[in-house]
Amino acid sequence: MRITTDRFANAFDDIRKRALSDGCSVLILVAADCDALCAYHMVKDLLRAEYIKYKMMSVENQVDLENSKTTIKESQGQIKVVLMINCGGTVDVAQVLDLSDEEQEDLCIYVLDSHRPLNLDNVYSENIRVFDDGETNIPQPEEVADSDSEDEDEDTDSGEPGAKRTKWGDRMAARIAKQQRLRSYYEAAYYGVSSAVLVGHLVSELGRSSNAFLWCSALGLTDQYLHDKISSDMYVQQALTLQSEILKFNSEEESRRHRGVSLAVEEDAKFFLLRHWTLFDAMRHSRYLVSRIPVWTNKGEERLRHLFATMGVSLQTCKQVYKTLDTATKAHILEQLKEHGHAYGLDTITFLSFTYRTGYEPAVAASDVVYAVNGILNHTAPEEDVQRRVFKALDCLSMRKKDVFEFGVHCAKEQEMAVMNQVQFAFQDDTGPRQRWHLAMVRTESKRFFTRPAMLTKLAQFLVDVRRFNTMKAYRMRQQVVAIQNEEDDTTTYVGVWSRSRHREGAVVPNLFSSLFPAVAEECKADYALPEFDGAVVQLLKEHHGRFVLKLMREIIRITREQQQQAAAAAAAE
Amino acid sequence: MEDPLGKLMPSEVEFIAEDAPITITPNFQAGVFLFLKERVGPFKPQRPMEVPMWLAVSLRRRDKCVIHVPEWLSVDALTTKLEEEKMQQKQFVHMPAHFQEISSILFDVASQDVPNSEECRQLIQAIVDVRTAKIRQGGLDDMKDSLAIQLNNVTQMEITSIRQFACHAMDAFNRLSSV
Repeated sequence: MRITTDRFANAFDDIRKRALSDGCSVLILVAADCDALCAYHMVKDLLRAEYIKYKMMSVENQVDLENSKTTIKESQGQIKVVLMINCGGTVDVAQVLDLSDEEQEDLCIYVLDSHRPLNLDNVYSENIRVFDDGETNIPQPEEVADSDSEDEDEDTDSGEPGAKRTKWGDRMAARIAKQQRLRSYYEAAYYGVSSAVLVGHLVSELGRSSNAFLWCSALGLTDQYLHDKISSDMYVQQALTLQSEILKFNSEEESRRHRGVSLAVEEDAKFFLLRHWTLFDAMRHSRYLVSRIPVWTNKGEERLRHLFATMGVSLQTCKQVYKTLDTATKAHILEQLKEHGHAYGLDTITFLSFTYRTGYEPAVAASDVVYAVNGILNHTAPEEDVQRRVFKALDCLSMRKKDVFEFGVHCAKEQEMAVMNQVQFAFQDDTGPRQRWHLAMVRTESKRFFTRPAMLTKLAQFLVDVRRFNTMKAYRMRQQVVAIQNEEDDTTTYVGVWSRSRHREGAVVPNLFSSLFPAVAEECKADYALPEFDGAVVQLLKEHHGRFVLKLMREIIRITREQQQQAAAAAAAE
Repeated sequence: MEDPLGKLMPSEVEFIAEDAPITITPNFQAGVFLFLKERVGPFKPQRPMEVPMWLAVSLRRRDKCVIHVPEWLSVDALTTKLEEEKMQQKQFVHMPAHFQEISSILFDVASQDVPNSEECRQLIQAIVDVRTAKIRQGGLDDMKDSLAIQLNNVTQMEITSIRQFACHAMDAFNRLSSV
């Protein structure tokens, strides 16, 4: 069932009542992404204030989620509430957790997942409660359920054969329409409102809003924006709502006077970890800038220097650590960027973002924290399982451990440099112009950074952006798939990002690969796995690579042709 | 037998201070709580009531109440006290009992509830500094000839900080003078 925003407080009350018992009765399954961790951080504080004991398990992929069912079974009925954060929304939870009917009734499962499309088995089940963000795309049960057409047969009057045939025809048409509706619902993967923002709603419903909670919501929202999960319109809308909340708790004069936490809403530049690097390095590693000015080519480097010259910023200033520049210079740089950026294709160089100040320490920007947390989560070290990474990332999120934060920043830098490295090679290696898509295989040089699918998605998004601005118009609408061959288990992981030809700045395209990958894998009769909560990731055995790639290419060509025809028809109709 | 009061630690003094009553406004409903020393309650939402400091802190940490800051913890009141303190060379100004402990707890837990918390913090620190200076320079001059010293208007925390030293010093003087 769906829990609408006005009933969030009731849901929390329900959790509280069920949770009161001697033992530990709340199990929280948290996915390993920044948004989920922010949401968990807030929920944890809420539960602590009520003295409710809880157990937290990190789940990185579907396999972990399935394994959590042993924890539930082993507890032998002690666990009464399961809260799933950013996981479980897109699969049939009752099936994955292998719950019998009585278990389903005893156990109360709450799902707070920003992945879409939500699995309809969860939405229309009585025992599974899904937090609703006002999603309008979900079909009504009548639209997709099979009606009991058999029974109708007996009721209808025999009448003339003609009438009966049309009735049958109608029913067939209705059934086909329903299947079509179902198919188009599950076709593409996208993201809904951030879980951290939804928990923020819950917190303000309970009247417990404070700077700490607002900061977590801001981080969850920023994480979604920086990883292209939501469009800039949606981001701005939610950021403005957050801003009005923040202003209630942080008026100008007060925030300068006390030693506690204060938040501010400021403009931030779209440069990667600007405050932890030199201006030059930050610009050279930002997807926003690099896709528009390809700095690995000589021409690109020239343009960048030209830009600096136009702004009146000396190369020396650029290569100085940004933190050490004085405020006048920093303001000057931002101003000049906004003025002259247009000529170089840098139209919206800044965006509305959040900063965190405590005591007399310098402000920390939301985007920096998000990058640091993701850096920690994507870190590949030999014995670091997901739980340890998540705990480290939670330390970073608490804003009290500077060394963990620095470590996260360092990891993020390493990973971004690895991505840039791969992008350079992939772009130079361009396959022939006639192909409607690109398949980039991760090269062995920095392969170790890319064992986590989140990194592959980053790489794919980078490539899509780079192509959008650096190839001829006719060849821009090409789909991007990134693949990596896993040494240990002879499989290949594919990650796909779908792009559209007429792409508006800041818009996000629903990812058709989430339905395409499994469909093509089945056609190849290959054993496949959809390991991640994010739909567009598939894993196959190496031997099927050739056939899979071929069939995938054919499907992509077919779909893009269909989309082009539809677009042409729509244009003609106007 | 060793005097147990002689070994009192500042943390223990703070513990004693936490019994001091303070006014809060709870935002929940509850009946009467029976504790060893007292009974507290019933709790009615939006109705101010007095509870011991330790309970106020526990509730505030869980966002279940708002603490009413005592009147002496304001910029004006503290500035006045500081002026008075500076004017008198040897005497101490009357300060509320456990003012150091209470103010430090409040700054820790409920700094948003304290208006101008930063200024208040500095004022309290200044007052404490002045008083400590007075104790060190002034009050102990009389130690040489006395069997007992009475310091008026000195809080328990301040006494604890000099008790052991002062007692040993007076013992030493006593022994030396009897020689």
